[in-house]
Formats: sequence, structure tokens, C-alpha cells
Amino acid sequence: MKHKFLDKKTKYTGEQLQSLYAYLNFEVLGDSVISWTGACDVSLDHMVDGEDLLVKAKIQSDDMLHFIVEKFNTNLESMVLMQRLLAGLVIKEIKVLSKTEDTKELVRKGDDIYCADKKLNVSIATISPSSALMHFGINIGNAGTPVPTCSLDDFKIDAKVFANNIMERFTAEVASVTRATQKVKWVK
Amino acid sequence: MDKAIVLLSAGLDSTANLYKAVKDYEVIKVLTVNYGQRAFKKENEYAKWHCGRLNLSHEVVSLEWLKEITNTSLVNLKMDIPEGTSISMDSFEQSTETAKAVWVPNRNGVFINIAGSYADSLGANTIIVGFNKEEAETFPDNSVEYIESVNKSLSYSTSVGAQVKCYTQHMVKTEIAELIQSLEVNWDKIWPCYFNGDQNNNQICKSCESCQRFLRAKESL
Repeated sequence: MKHKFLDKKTKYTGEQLQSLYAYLNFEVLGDSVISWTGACDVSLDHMVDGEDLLVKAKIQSDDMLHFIVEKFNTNLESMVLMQRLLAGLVIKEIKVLSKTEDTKELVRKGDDIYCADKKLNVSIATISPSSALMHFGINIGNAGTPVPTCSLDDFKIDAKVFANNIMERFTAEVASVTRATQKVKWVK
Repeated sequence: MDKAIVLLSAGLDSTANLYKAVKDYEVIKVLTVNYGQRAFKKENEYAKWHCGRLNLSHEVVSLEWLKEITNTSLVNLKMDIPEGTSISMDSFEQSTETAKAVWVPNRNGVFINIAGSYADSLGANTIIVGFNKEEAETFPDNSVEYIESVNKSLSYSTSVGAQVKCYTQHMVKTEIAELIQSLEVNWDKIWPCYFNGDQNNNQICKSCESCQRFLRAKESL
């Protein structure tokens, strides 16, 4: 799995969650994770979570760190599991880089991360005919969010450094999972 | 937040101290010393990796003269580094002998004073080092007494009154391994080995005393 950080600030609208987005826009071919910073404002037209659609949820933040993961030849359930793996890695990396004591309160609930009941992220996994996809957005600041949130700024963490660390750890885990599937003998 | 300089070889002890230090200090410089040691290439590669992860300024200090005057096996390729069954980690006598084989003249004294110069110049009042209780028995320049002594010296020789601090000075390697685990440090980015991996497919040798102590600690988890 390849990874790339994109320096240009770009608003996440939900449109980016589509097959071959990394390849067609940034020439990152194949299994990939890309990351960038920018606002988040997902319109109902691009919302893929049925629960959110039913309640016409607002998915907004003035500044977020975004990740888009695309993996071919896999299914939606695997991508949901990867979402939770990514959430776990995010918590671990915050604990490494943060200088504050608040990190003890970080918990994962499904694919969401909370610190003292304040929400850190938004995330969704979906599927296309050729690949499974995930968006994972982490608040950089707390402005413009529709619910009480925490953010990388609260933990005094630089977003770009964090993004590169997360992508390195995530791709290493995915490679490790692939190795694990290739080293075992079949059984009856 | 106080400022600190960290001495980092990317071995078990110094890496644990680096990750502890970034919680308590503004680490303004991380130093890796090249004194001609066989493992430098790997030590530097891994030190740079940790500094990248933690967004810290890293610098290599080259001590060509120390390489020239060091006759023992850590540097001198004509000498053999003790390996395998010639090592007995729990025997004081044998560990003292193997320590002599890898002794570098006044190494920690030189390193700490170089870090002291950086601290004095950059306005840092703390120097973080990676020592441990286990090896302090055979390497006196790892001991608590040594830290106390060098701190007294630094209080005279630096205008900022820099002081050495070590989070692991009272810990044995198994305790440091637990600390590494709790700090979420990547085990595969620690280089404890006296060799540079060239003969071993880029892996640690698992045979020198440093590797043996590292593996015993890691496997205790």
C-alpha cells in the first residue's frame, strides 16, 4: 500500500470518496492512503452513511486532517475492520506525540474516537465495484463542528507530522496483515 | 517547558529516554555521535527515523579523533567483538571482560560534554542520556555516581548550569523494555547491536552482548 501527503489545503466534501481518486488526481496507483488538511463539509448528496442521511446529519469542521484509504480486491467488512485499526493507531500515535495528560481519556467507540466525551473524528467506509474505500477525518481545531469536539491542537500535535506517522504505521500494519495471510498452510 | 538536548544512539536505553523526554521537555536538539563505531550507519538511520516521527532536530557529531585512538573492537575492525557463548550476562567477572573488549576511551564523558556545549549554546538546561542499572555494574560511566559527578562538573563548565538526567538509570533492561512498550515505540526501529547489519541481512546479530541483553528484555514481556 502506497501513501502520500498532499500539501495543498482542500475542503473535503464527500466527493473525494470515490474509486481511483488517488490515482486520477495524484498518480498514486493501487492500494493507497492519501492525506491532506482542509475544512470538512459533506452535503447530503455525498453522504454515504444511511444513519446520517436519515437524520440529515451535519458533517462539518473548519479544519481537519483527512485520510482516504482505497484497497482493491477486498470487501466492505474488511474496510470497516481497517477503519477500527486506523482509529486504534490514531489513539496510540496521539499518546506518543502529545505533551498533555488528557490522552489517558482517549477511547475508541466503533470507528469514533472520544476524549472525555468530546469527539475527535468522523469516518465512513464504503465500497465501489473495484475497491473498498474509507474516509477518516481528524479535527485539527474545534471551530465549525456541530458537536463538542477535541482536536490535534488540543494535544499540541502538528498535523503533517501526525499524518505521515499514521500513514507509515497503517501501511506497515496492512503489509503485515498481507504477510500473515501468505505464510500459513491450509487446513481441512 | 524546559529545554533539553538528547543523546541518541537508537538503542533500547537512549530511545526510551528520548520518548520520555519529549513528554517533559522541549527537545531542541537530538545528537547522534559518530566515533567510528561499526554500528553507526544503523544507529544514525534509526535515530533519524525517531526524530522524523517526533518532529525533532537531529544532528550527527563526528569524532574522527576518537575513532583514531580507540583500539577496542567496537571500532577497531581487527579486533573481535565478543559473541555467542563467550558472553555470560549474569557473571560479573565475564561481563567485566567483555566490557573491556568494547570500551571506548572516556566515551560518555566526551559525549556528555559535547552535549553540554550544545546545551550552553542553545539555552537548554537538561541533557538526556540513556543509561541503565544493569550495565552500570560493568560500565562505571553508566552509573548514578557518574551522573552525580558529571553534573557537578557541568555546573561549573556551562553557563546555563546544564544537568544530566536519565529516566532509566535505576532500571534493568527488562524494566526498560516495559517502558518502551508503554511509550508505543516501534521495536523494529531500535538498534541495540554492536554490528551494522551488513553480515546479517540488515538485521541485528542476536549474538553480541548488547543484542543478548536486548532480546532477553524484549522476550520477558
